[in-house]
Amino acid sequence: AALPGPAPADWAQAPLDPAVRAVLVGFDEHFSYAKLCQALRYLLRGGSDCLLVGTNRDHRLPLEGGTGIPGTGCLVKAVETAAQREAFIVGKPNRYMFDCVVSEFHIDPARTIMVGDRLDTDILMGNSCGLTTLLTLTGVTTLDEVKGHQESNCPARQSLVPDYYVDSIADLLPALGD
Amino acid sequence: REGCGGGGMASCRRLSGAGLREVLGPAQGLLFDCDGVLWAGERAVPGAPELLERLRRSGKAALFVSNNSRRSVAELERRFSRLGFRGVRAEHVFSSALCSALFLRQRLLGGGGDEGNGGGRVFVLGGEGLRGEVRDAGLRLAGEGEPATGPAEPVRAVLVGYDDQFTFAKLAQACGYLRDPQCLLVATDPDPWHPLSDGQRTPGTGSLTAAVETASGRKALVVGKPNTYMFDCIVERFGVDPSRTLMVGDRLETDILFGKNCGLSTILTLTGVSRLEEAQAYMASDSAAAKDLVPNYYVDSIADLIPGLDE
Repeated sequence: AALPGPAPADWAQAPLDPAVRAVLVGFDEHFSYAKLCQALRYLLRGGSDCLLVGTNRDHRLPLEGGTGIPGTGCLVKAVETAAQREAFIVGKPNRYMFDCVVSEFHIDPARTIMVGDRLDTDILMGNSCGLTTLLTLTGVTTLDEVKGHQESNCPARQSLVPDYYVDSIADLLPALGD
Repeated sequence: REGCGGGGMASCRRLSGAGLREVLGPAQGLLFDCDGVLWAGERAVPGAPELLERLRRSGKAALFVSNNSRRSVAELERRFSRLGFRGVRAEHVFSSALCSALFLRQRLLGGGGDEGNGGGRVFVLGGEGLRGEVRDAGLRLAGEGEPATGPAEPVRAVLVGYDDQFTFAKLAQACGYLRDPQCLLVATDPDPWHPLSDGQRTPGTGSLTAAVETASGRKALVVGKPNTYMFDCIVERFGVDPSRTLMVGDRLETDILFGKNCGLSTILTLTGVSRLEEAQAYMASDSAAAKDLVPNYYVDSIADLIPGLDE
């Protein structure tokens, strides 16, 4: 809906949709202060009756050539800070998506491997859910990072260490029969 | 007797009657937050202009320290006048916009003026009031007056303030500059939200800073209350004695903690953000950090301080 006027004091007068029961924060390249205002208004109006959900907390979306742009996690943090409450995060490393998979496909964690390139999402989720974890080095993580966590005395960092790694998932081919 | 900022926990006593004269008598000056203390929106708090007038007649100094980074101190001087406060000059007003500019001038220009290399540019996320203060401090803003050809000066600081035109694109741009580890990340204030006159809230600088910190992996240097830099600016200009100065504010997490951090006795006024119940909850809490948020005293409104001053 169009905002009535150029300033936040005007935006705070725009009618709120009475049916809104949740604010969902995802990747939004058109994120703006005005949208942040509206999100805050819905959360304050609804209190505990209005959910605050974030799709994920990734800081950064890597692009080609080593560049990147801010990730959804930044937008979630902006809303959480303004509203002074914590979002329910659907994405990795939280287990909700794994629970979705399990309920549809009868997965046995003891016989399932999680393959990913990111320690603080893919591998952490896999480890937390009792899966065997396999890191591939074709993405954002280097072996040095893993070694750093492995050698640390910190339990939180230890849970970022995968069971195995490969240079690329193509390296799995020889293990599979014809 | 209440200590001045050091020692044990404050006890949030209502200031009235004889207590008022005991506390105000020895004070040489008062530092006031503005929003929620002197005014709410476009309305002065009833009795607030008279209080300032009575302070002047009693020979006590009144200085102003605000986390609001929207307005230049020149605009604030006009605002004081428009809302009925007499005799407040820009030099008495310490806003986070002004102090952020002073901070950046110190860090980028070495506190002097026109050094040869110009100190680099500042990328400002904020409105014209904030941008003006940065320019007035002798700094150049990214996106202004750049050469038509050849490389522009490097951006040496990203300054996050209240920016109601904040966008994803600006967030991405800020992160680009912050990839240089030499580029400072500074925030005018940590406030998560501000009250609107109808009881709603608008997001504050703190929420935008959280986005920039998350995207860049850096922690911002925060100029505003409860950090003490703005008090350093006040001391440098006016030489106040913390043991004879009272801090008056409406927000426990910024004003009262600021007072504690600077060694000032604190008075919470209930015309703004924080409720008395919140102060009492901090007082009852087991956490050491919570104790620092308890004011020494409270009043319903700063007009209640008037009887504590000589006729």
